[in-house]
Amino acid sequence: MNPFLQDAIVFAPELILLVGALGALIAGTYLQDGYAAAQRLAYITFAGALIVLLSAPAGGAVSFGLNFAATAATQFAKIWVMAACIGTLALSHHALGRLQVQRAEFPVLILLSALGMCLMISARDLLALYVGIELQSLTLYILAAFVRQSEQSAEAGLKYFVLGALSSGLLLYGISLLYGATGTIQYESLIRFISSGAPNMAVTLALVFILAALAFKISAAPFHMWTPDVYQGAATPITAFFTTAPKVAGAMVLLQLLAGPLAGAHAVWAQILWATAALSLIVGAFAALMQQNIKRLLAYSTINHVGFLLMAILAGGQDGNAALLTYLAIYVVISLGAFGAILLLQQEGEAAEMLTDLRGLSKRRPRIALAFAVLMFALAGVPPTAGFISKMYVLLATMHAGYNWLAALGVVTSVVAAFYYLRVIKLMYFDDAPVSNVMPSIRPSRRLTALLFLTVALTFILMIMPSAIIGPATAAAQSIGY
Amino acid sequence: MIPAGLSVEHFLIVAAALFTIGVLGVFINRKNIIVILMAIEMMLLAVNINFVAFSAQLHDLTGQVFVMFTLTVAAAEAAIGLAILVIYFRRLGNIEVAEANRMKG
Repeated sequence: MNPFLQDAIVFAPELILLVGALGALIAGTYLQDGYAAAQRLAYITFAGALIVLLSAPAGGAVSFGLNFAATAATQFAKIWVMAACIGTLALSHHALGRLQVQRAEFPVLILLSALGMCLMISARDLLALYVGIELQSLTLYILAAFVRQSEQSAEAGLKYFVLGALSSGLLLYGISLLYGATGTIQYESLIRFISSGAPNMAVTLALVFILAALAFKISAAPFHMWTPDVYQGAATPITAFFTTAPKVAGAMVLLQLLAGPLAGAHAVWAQILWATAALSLIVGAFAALMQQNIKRLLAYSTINHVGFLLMAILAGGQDGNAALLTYLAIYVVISLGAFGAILLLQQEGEAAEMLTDLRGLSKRRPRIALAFAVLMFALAGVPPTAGFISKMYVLLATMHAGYNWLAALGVVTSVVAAFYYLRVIKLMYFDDAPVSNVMPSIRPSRRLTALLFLTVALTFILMIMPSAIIGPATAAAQSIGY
Repeated sequence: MIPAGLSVEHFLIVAAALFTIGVLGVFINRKNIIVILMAIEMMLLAVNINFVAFSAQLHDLTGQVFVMFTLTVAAAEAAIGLAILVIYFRRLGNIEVAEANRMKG
């Protein structure tokens, strides 16, 4: 076969996203109702990419001269990135209308950032990785500042941009040192240079820079300081996007770097990862206790979950990798559901901004309150929800790998975190609503309701039949590493 | 080719100094946000010096190709940063670092 065609087939999901993004941009610019057209095109594009990903023969195909790989693991991660993007689009419609920012740029930006994430996940070359990360980050900065008329949104965009650009600088500096030390930027060749044994000073330094930058991108402590502000300031559907898709992509990049070209320097990065995971767990659990704003609370909850992701990466091996993929998939479902519940409440006229706004919710909106309560249990990891399965697999893998103290810390911080999840439920079910807070019920959005129902159903289904997600995750995990 | 009388270390020291000044510019700067954007740009340019120096030392073109990409991305980054800054200025009427504290907790 023509080699160019062969590359194109491996690259098909990204090509579809690229064409879709540009098509949506043109449609959004020239058509009368640009937003609706772009939105529809985005749905079609994601569905197309999803179909290609689900049907693609992922036999570890490599294209563009070893710089881009489509393996079972990358396909799995991309499927969940697509799911997060489709979920975000479904969440966003009414919220953007309420904020008066139903602009055609929104679906285009989501498409471009999905393209960046796919490139990151599949990159087998530090240059491709850098370009993918930047494409993703630049669109995320714009999305954070998307609600132009809001002071908070502008400030969130600015903070995210400044700190994100700083982390890009760190990443680049690390890459340049790695290039200087090894003379190559391809994963395949890097493996040979970074063999086991004592890594030299330059590689160690490069590793520290690269890890710091990636920790920044997935908001792991101590590089999490932007997360609460950005989550609070950005519009809620955009926060839902920040919580899900970039975390999948970032965790996959970290995993594939550490299990691939940097595997030889395990002695160095294992210590850093251990400390980062422990700090994320602690910060995510304890700092959330003082929060009054729901989105800030969920930001710290994310940091706690990132701690679990890092634990799984540290555990490594078949178990750890499968646990990571399982955790990512279930985390995407639960997070989308939680934000879906908040948006549905806001659409029905509730404030749902501060925790106190949730008082007595079970009397006013019994069904949404029930769904929200289930999702809070899932985030806390209480059985019988899928959150329990994912946490348990990560903890088991961590203990198998011999990191007993870290696993114990994971359990302890989960208990602390359960306090604030349960507080939300207590506010909804056992506190009385302030007087004159009864809002007229507006006809709920069908898309949002469907999404909320689907995520709640999935949190139960994946608990009853864990093999539905663990099976594919385990199969995908086998393709990680060299 | 690295000129005679100079070694790759000289370039690395300059790059490291510029990079450090850039990072400090982001964190220590207490005045205005344009200066932060300049500091970020300086970090990226310091990295470029690194890449070019290594490229010359290793007799390998990859580093110089990387610089082209970095420059392009840095331009895009600056454009987006300034656009966000304009939005911010329109809302708040100033670009003081100390004023950027609407969210706390």
